[in-house]
Amino acid sequence: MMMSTNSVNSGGTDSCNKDDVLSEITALCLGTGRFLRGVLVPFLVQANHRVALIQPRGTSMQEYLVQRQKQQTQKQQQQQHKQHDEMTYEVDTVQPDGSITTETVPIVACFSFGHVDDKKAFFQSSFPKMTKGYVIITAGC
Amino acid sequence: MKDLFDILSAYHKQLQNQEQQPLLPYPQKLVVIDMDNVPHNGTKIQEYMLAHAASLDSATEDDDDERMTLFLNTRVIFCNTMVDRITSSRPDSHGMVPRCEPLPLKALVIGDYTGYVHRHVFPPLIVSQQQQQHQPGIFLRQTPQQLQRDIDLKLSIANGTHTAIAHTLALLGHTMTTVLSYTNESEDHDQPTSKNIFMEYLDALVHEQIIPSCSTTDTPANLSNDAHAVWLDWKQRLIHPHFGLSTFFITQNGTAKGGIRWGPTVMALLQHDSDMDENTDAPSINESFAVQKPPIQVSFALAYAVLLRWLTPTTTFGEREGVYRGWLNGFDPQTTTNASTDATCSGTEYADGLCYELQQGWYDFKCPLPDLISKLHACLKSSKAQPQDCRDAVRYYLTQDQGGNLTDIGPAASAATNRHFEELVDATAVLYARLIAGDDLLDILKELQRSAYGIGFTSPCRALLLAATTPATLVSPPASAAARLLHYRPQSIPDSSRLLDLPVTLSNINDVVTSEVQSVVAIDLHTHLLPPSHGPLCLWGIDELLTYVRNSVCILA
Repeated sequence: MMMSTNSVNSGGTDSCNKDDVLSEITALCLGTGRFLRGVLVPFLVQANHRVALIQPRGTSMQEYLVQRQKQQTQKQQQQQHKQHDEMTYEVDTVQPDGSITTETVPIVACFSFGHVDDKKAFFQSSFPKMTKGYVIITAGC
Repeated sequence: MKDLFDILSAYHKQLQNQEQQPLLPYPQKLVVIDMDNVPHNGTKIQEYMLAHAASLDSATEDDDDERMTLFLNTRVIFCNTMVDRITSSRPDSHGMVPRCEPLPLKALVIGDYTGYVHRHVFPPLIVSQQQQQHQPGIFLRQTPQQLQRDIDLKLSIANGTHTAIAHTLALLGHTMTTVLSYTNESEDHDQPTSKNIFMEYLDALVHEQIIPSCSTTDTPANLSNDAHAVWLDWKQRLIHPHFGLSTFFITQNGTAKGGIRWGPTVMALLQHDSDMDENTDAPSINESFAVQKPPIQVSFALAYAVLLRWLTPTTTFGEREGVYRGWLNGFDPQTTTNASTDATCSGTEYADGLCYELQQGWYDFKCPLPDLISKLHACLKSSKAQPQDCRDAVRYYLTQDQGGNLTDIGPAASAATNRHFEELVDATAVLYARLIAGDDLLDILKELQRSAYGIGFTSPCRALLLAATTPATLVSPPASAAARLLHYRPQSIPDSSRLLDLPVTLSNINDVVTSEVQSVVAIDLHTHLLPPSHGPLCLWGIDELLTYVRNSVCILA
């Protein structure tokens, strides 16, 4: 499920599910850089954290995740699989023999502070529902 | 920073809101983990947050600044971390897909001084499994000293070798570090990499200089084992044949990196062995190079020499917004293309506004020390710079805090420390002079690899000196201030060096002649009885008087 301003772009998910998702978040990553997503987020996921990303500037990460989610949904519909709302991104690891191992990392939500309204909406509508804040990750500060 | 403060502030306000369900039941806290590749990153973040809190408007009765400060101090844990995993991006992914090397031994080290992270953030199962099985990945450190040691080892070993090899490879026209996985000059990937000349150079630098410098500080006995583990892990990453970095990219900020990454190691070596020198008994005269091992070796002199060679602008340099132009190994600086005067970057861009062109043999670089640029340029411009003429530039770089950062040299340092420092200066000047005279860098590496002239990577810097000083162990040095006793020493400059083609000037003729005479092997077949004033030439006893071969030249002015 992706959050952007006050809208939900999740293929029909209602507000109750949105609140459930927000309440699951236990790790909030302020930044969407390659290093943060390639190193720390996988560790957090491995530790059973439910991770949300915040892109401080721009919306490219949201767009990328939504695009991937749509592609995954279409693929699952074609294969008549159960639809999942999980957002994921990929991480490549180049092995010594030259082969590339691709890991799929799941996240709960992705926000953007690219616009003033987006940031305002985050603090007004989304943040109050995050009741399990354990970890905040920062990068590029 | 502002975004983080806003998030923390929002948490704080929600805690204060008594009408809502408490956000964080006591005693849970917020943990802030910073991923910036900066030492003490968590502390810096905390200081910034506290400063921001203190600036809140406290004119109202709410005392927002005090409440927020209290919240930050009691309910938020700011962790210092060390992060290390080389990450680029998948081609054509527009930066969306990280492309990483295999997970290193210490990809993420977190300072967990209260144990809270261990208990609440990363389940004990994951961390203990990894640590017990010595799996690469995440480490939690219980004390600041433990984390600092991780940072110091990474800085001295990983970053130090990276800077040393990057300038070497870039000057030789190797654009990627993957060349380190090859054997010598071959691109045969099936051959063991242990024969790679560049890795031999780094092995010498690490095993004989960097790791021993770690043991000079007041640290646990197992520090050497940790240092070896760090080097082995980093070495595997360096020789990854399919995940390399741009060598030119690594050369950025080389001026400062020489001080940041090498300075602490070199100072530790200079200061450590100063005590050894002063307490050692007088050695035998004929063991002039077999005395206790001097602290600084040729491998470090080579590292500094190559760095300064990189920072030397061409004779036709022109400053473009602080950008200078250098010339690659094997090219003539006189004919290198002039630096363009506009803001565009021709050639292959390796950093913002910095380019290189392999076919034409030039590259751009930046340097924050204009006086250093002038001194190095003068060495090149003179076209007859002997090592003695380059000492000033070398010494200047080594002692600048924005450069080599060896600032604890001089009146406050011991005599031994200063002497070793001067030996480093002289040795670096010899290698640097050879490089700007046109000696091939790869040939120099091969000379040192084979100890072709009796001098290798692990030889003391003293072996490169042109003019020997009078050993302190001699008896009754000559009274004349200009007199020096000479003892045979192999010539540190090979006959093939282009330095020998350069004219000798009044300023350096003394050292040049002394060096040449010192390296002459004289065989005296006659029996000469010389007094004690002739030092090692004074022989006595039936064994010495009957048959002997002289291997020293004595000159008394």
